[in-house]
Amino acid sequence: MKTVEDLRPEIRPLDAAWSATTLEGIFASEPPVSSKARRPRRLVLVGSMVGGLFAVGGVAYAAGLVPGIITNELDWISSSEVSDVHEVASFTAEANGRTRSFEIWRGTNADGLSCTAVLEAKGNFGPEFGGYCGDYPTDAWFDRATESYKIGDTPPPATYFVYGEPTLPGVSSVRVVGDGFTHRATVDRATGGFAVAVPELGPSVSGHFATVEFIDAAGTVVGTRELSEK
Amino acid sequence: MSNPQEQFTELWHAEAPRVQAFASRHVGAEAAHDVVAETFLVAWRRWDDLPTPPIGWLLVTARKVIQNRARTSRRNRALEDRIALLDGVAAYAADSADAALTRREALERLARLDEQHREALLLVSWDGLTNDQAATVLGIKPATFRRRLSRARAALLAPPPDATDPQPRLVSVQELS
Repeated sequence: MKTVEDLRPEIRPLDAAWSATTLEGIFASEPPVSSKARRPRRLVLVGSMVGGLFAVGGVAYAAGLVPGIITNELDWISSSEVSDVHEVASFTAEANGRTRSFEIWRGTNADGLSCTAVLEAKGNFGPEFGGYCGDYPTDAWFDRATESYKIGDTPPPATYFVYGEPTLPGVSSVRVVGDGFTHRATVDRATGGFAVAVPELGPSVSGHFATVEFIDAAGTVVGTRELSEK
Repeated sequence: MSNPQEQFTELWHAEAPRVQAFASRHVGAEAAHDVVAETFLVAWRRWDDLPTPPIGWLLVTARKVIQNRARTSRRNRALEDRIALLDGVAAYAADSADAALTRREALERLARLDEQHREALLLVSWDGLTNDQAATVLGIKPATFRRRLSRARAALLAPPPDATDPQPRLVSVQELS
């Protein structure tokens, strides 16, 4: 029987010209940063395991704590140090007859990218994460969560969600308006963020699909953000 | 003692091919060049912090680079894409007539594993890392890694997905794309 080891790739030598050019480019970049000159690593206060590792949302935020499981995920998805880690919001989504709960956390990495980690504490097979770093708007943006499934099963549909931290003053809620749907979400007073699932969106979403309206306490739309999928 | 540039050059020639092989199976040979360059750029910037041996650290960084590129481009890889990537790097060991699993079948089974289990297997079997090094690359405890590796090997040997097997072979983890 053919084993994985049988298929172990040969380590091919680098292309000499590319190797030389790339090395030259690296040495022409900024010199190594002395670890002494670097900022100290972020102080991470890990929530008590006894209190429930994943019951971290409001309590952790209120206490100024960032759960280790979140910082680990952000460290994992970012190629540079992530700071200003904070909770954005939480939301629920209905899928296959059950309610799924998600928490969204965000920080900024040393490259200036916004890094978002999404935790489903009670996924099909235990805690599950997603997330990425990118140069995307932070007042309202979107992503999609794919439910775990067993190999051989039909992959469940992805769930789109919209989330963000409105920057316009006085925004207390948002409305996500698209073709055939309108969802409203309240801005969490503690975190300043919001999140809402948009189950109407399927896998074929492309181009502009929704407008996020930022609404103040009087019900006035004070700004908008257009959302487009590639 | 050689200066940092000489030491780095030595590291480059010793380990960049391994990082390239690692990256190629994730993003293909062409994009792997960018991953290698970015990984070693980070390594140069953090030269003082590189552990010995550095291969684990380099693969952790390469994984982050790859993951960030994938997230940014918001792409999902279909099964056929995954098979093609593995096919592009896997060695061609001769298929014997009595082989229970051909190269293609083996690659397909590898591709069907969820990413975490496939990576556990390949970090050891292809990249030559120790269990502890591979655990570090995946950001998990060695004991967790050993369980994951064991499950991956079992899943690889299990009947194919269309066989009448009521037991789940492996799970796929949630992924934002």
